[in-house]
Amino acid sequence: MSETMGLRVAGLRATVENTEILRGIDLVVEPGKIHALMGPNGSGKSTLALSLAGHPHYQVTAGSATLDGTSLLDLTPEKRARAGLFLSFQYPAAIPGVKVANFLHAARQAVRPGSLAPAAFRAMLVEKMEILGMDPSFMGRYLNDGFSGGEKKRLEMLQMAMLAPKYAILDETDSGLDVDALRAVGDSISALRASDEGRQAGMLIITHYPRILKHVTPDVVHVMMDGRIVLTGAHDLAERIEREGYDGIRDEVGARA
Amino acid sequence: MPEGVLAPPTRDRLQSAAALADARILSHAARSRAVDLYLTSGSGRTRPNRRWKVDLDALAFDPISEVDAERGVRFSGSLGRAIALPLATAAREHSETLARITRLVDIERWKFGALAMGLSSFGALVHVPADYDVAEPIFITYRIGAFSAFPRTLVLLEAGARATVIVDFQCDDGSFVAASSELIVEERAHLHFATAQRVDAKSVALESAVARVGRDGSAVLATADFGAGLIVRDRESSLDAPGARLEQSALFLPTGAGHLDVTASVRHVAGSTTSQTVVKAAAGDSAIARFLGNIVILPHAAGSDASLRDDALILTPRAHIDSVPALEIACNDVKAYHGATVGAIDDEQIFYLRSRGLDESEARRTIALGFFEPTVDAFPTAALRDALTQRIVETLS
Repeated sequence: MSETMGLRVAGLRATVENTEILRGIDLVVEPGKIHALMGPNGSGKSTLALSLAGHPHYQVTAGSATLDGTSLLDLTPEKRARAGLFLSFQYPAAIPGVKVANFLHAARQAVRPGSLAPAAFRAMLVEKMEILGMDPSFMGRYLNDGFSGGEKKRLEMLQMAMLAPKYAILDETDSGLDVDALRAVGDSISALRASDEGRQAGMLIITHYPRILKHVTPDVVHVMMDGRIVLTGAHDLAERIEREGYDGIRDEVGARA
Repeated sequence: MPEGVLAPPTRDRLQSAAALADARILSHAARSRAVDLYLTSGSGRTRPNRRWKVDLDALAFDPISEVDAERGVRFSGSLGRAIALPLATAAREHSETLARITRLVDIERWKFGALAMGLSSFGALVHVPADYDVAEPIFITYRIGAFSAFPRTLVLLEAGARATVIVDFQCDDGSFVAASSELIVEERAHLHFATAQRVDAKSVALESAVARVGRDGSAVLATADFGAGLIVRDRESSLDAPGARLEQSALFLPTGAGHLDVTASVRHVAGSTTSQTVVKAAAGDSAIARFLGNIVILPHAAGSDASLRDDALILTPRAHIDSVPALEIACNDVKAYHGATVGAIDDEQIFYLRSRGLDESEARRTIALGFFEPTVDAFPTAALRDALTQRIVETLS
């Protein structure tokens, strides 16, 4: 594997309204690997996700982030998406009047121009919606408008499936989901990785609770506290967090309370 | 805005214009009375202020219309057994129908309705016989040019009839139009009535509209207004008998120094009547828009269901939108809802779309088109909806 491949974050620092939240993040998600990023509330997980996606309220003050060798930090949010980055939002915005099917088509065209004929797009959409257990009436609904929490997360997963990114960051996609929805998210990730376009997709699954990891087995687990990654391990690290909570790890690594 | 080259017409000048107009459409005595009503009744609007620059109670215009009574109006669409005629022809051949609609609507209750009535020289009558379904839309085109015009559009759908009527005003810059729309929807009939207008900087468009809907009848009323001129609409819909339904929508997108003022009133006269009003207003440049939505549920209208949704999008810091929803409910056991929002495009919405690969201008356009979508969707043909979408895109870019 080339040394430039992967979603590579090095020494990343970021502030929100002049408060430093990220204090030097080092992270490499290689193609085809699933990483879990765990940590208590307020540890900076969502800030990392939004900083990488280019949210204008987050200022990166130091460090680098590259996607298969392309520096992300100089790019606008749309160019990061076109480079192959996808963020599943914890709180997706509602856009009344914009139909799901039309939006998905516009997004697919923007990210992968000319790659699908309309009929093929339609067929792909139907297939992905079946995997996610979504009713076809979703296509005619307005984007996230009046959606339940579970519906919003399913729609994020549908977008991921339709856009087939090289790297996907799932920001608390599991929070607030019932068991069926969790399974659907897991199935959707598996389906993406089984598809031609998504076979080499790298994933960064941000979660507070380990339960999503019963449906998706991560190759690597990171623990984040106070704006830093304090511990990295294999799948069993998630099991330890489930048993002990974050306090034991906090004591071990000596992170500030 | 119209330039101040004209002074408001005097009573003598208005009366002599009324005396010149076609007496077969309306007697000179009735015209004279309507002109006096125009002069003596108020517009119901506040006086000019810091933002609103026009005095609607002292408009300057030329009361003589140069528009040809027969050639000024065109119809297209396949009518079948329906009748669509220039008002002057209808006055000769269907005077009773004209008198009946005029009596039921009483458009003179509105200042600008009285003006349209008093000076009306042309217009259109659409009459659909009972239980007849006019499958294709009926297009009425008024060719007004840069002149003054006082067109009346009269529509009568007899019991069980169905029709779609689309009115197009073809105006050049400098036109002054005071129009009336007088719509009767009898029991079980269904009318879809739509008009989209762009009013240029030196032009004025005034409309008074009344729709009356009978038992189990329904009306869908859609308007879309663009431009930098002065646009004033007074609309009243009356749900006269149980089962009557109304859906009305209004799209506003004034630009430049445009002034737009719309009142939409829905009267639930009988019980078990339903109304939905949806307003989507955006203003660009230094345009100003005011909307007054009024739902009235009268004492015997139990079981009525009314909703009023009114959203405004401010596109520039100098634009201004005032929106006043009002409910007057004189009856228990009704459902009434109103909601209103005013704001700019949300940064989180823009970021969300950009994170999906759309650039910023595409994101803004997508959000704005989405904002207007329910009011575009209320228009009856795909061609019209596409044209409206195109006009929104052009206006925003």
